[in-house]
Amino acid sequence: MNSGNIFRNFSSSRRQFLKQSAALAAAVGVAPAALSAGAGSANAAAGAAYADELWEKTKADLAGMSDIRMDLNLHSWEGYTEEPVLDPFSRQTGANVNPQMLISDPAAVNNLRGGGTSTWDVINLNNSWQRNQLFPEGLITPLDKDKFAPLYDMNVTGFEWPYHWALDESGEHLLGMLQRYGPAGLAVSTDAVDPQTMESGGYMEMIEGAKGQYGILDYENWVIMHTCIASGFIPFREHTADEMAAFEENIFKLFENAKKVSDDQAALARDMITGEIIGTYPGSVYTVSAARLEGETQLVNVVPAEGPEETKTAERPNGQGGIVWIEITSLVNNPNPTPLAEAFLIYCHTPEAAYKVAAKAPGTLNPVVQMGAPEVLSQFSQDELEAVHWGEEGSWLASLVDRCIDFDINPDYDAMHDLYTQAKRARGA
Amino acid sequence: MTEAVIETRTEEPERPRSKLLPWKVSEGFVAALPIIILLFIGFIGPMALVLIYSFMPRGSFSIPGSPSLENYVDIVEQDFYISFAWSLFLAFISVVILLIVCYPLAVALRRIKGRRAHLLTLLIVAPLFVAENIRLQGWVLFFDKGGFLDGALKVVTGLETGSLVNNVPAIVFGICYIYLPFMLFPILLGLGNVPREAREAAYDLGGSRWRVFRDIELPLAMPGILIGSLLCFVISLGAFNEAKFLGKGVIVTVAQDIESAFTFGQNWPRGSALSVLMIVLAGSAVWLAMRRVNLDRMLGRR
Repeated sequence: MNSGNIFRNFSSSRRQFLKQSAALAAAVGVAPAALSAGAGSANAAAGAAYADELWEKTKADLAGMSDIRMDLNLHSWEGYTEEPVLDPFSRQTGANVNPQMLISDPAAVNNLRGGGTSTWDVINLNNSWQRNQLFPEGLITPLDKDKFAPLYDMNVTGFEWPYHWALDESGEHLLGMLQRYGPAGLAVSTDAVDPQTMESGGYMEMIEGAKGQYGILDYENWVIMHTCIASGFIPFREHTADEMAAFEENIFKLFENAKKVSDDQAALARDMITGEIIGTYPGSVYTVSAARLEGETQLVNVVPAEGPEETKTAERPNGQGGIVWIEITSLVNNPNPTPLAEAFLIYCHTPEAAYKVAAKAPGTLNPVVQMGAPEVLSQFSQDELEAVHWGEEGSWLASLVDRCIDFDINPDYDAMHDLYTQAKRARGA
Repeated sequence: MTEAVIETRTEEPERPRSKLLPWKVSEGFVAALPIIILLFIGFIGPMALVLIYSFMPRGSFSIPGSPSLENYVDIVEQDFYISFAWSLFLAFISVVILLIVCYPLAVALRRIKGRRAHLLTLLIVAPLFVAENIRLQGWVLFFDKGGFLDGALKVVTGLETGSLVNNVPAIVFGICYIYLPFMLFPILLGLGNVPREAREAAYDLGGSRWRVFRDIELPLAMPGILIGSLLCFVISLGAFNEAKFLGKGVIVTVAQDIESAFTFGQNWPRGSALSVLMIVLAGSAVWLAMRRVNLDRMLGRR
């Protein structure tokens, strides 16, 4: 945990880091099949063709409908709220789309619980909310499985049909469609720190080794989840008193040792570029992708190479130290529904729209699972692929995702959030 | 004809009382009715909801539930006093600084006449037309490492300032910058209550500059000073963006705690309890201040 060894000027190029990452991934036992993820299934091209056909048919059906509500109210993360995505949809359907960007998953869920089902038609959230809370509480409505399942053929390896988080507990109901995803661990500037040191040292390498030199990306639920992993256990189950004590110790240490706390990922990326901080906790592909597209490729997402004991298996002897989030878009159980909601989900799977969802969001680029289809992947420029850590045939991104457990609900979130807020306030004590 | 008119006037019956309202409905009440309804829907109603929510158990997203004091107990047990202390300190120090900055500025503005006065007033008001968070982000880019100040100094002198944000003085600066007009204009109005003749008479009677200020200017301008101070104190108590953008997590204010409870915390009742305490705090400050002064007398209404 000596900070001196990690703050030397690390001058490896992006390619060198890519090679090192791939080598490390191989060393920790990532299966070759996983590394080749990103190349989609053999049916990927057929899936893309189906998306285009389905969209044409949907437009024709809409044109034949009368007396439908032409307002589409969209509550989603930033990828779906921008003109490059929405304007073609509005132009082709005549819909009047009213987007509202999310500020957090929990806030959006509470919004629906508080009567938002009468307002919203489409909700886009990270995985697990749909399966564990929204569908059981009657807040979203299932999709037509026969119509939507073939679209999963477009997806990269690991996100094929039947996909766990898109289905309800019984496996009967399709709850939504996947699109943007990304691994989350730490983000660092390779100008200031050796990313491999962070990968091997994990979260505590930043908390203790980079004391006073890192920023906290203050998405509260994510800070809590990563601090669970830093404390040696996964967040997504009930925790013992000893585990809660370990969490408390580390969350206080995390805030005490941080130089900055901000929920502005762009500001923190700027701080990494100017050398104000060496990295962020947590960090993801999306938190550095916009800066990477601008040529700041020294900013990279790293996922700790070793995870908690309970994540270690024969296939992954080092376990999984990161968390992968997958956005799922669902139909809200609106008492006055509009067919435009389903049409929007179909539209987002057309190769052109899927690319725009990935690359045209404000301030961030994200990979989409539809990059398994060559019709989608071919639209990305080389710089855009570099920005999303794609690597050779998607191997860099796949190796990061392979080190991650899936995002889920934390049953001890309330108690941990109390500790989190106390730790944050203690900075000013 | 004249008699008939007089007779008619004297025999004019009393305006009939409303069947629904047993008391006489005054014209003032009728005129105020729209604003009363608006205040009830837009202010009293939401306040009542917040108050009720503050007694609901954690995890409540609708009103029915067994009332409890658990939110208030949690606030005491979980060191929320730190946030309250910071919010109070920021509000107090900002008001003091704003008074020191705005009083002389207001005096100067009163003495400037004509086009120059209009231009200066326009320059002070103009920033209000730009969103607060954009202006604050501008200051971040100005003061941060690699920002305008740091970069310009480096080019010109070779010296570096590093980051000048991420600290409490930066937050105080932000609050003073944002709320300056809210202190300046009430003081300007207050100074309008100071007749030039009164000041001249005091000087003629041998008063020193300090005594004229203390015994003539200050008491007469006090309504404006008081209103500006109260206004700035109450809105500074709710400072959020200043701490977020310029403080970058160096402290947490109550407004930030409230936002966290309503969003990531999924804890509307606690957010409501914190809001109720903030309202009580702000209301108490206003009540205490108003107890010590007679605004009606100051404004010459009695």
